[in-house]
Amino acid sequence: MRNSGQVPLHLLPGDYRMNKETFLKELAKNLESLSTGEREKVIEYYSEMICDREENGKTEETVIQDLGSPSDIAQQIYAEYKKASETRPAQTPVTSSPGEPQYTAEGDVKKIILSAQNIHVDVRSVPEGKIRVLFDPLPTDKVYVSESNGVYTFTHSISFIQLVRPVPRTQRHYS
Amino acid sequence: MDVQRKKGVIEICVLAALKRGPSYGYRIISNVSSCIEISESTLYPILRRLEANGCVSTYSEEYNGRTRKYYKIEQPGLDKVQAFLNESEEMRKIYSFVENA
Repeated sequence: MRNSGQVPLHLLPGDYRMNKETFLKELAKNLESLSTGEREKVIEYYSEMICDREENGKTEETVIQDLGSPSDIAQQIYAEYKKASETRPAQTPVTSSPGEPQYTAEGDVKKIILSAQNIHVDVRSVPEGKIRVLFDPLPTDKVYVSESNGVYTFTHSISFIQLVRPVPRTQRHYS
Repeated sequence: MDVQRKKGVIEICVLAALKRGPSYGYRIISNVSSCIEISESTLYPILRRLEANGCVSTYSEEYNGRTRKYYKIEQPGLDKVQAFLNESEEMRKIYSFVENA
């Protein structure tokens, strides 16, 4: 008799069979938190694999079955990214100078944390998917920016700072 | 085999496969799977890491109306393979010690 513990259930709609296109689409959907560039790399990799396997005599259906589920693949990739970011050295805080008060984000922007006092701060998305964090000019003040795993922390104040890395719409989250 | 250990070994096998010349994903899997089990989802993070570490470089070539990404081994990758080989004498000693226990 079966143990009374939880039995994993995999529910799929009745006749649902993935082909190459739906597999890649599903995979991309599962990788939404990655940057566009990284996501495209994964998709290109799997797309190439599927083509090569097919050209070596396998049917599309077998190939997709062999690859495993897109969500499992995504989980594995996320786990790998998490490990990589944990070993990455912390970024040195950047001080913006009043002349060129621009800070460029090096990675994905997942979250922006602002800390400021007695100053007007404006955060808005600007064309090309950029996010602009604007502080009212106060030449004597400084703003420190630090980043950890896609979380950008701005601590107090200077003219303005612009993040010039495209941010997928779904990930915009300000706090 | 222990998961971590297997990962390390597969990485060396991937580099060894590339020592014979630049190769692409499917062919790397075909070559490496003759000695150790490897899947697409195992290979991807390994290639990504090797590229980030400068152990391999990449380039694309047109093939059959699509692009194929090629991986080429670089000096840090060759050094890694050599370091692995240098370990073998030490490992042999350890194995014989364990066997004769």
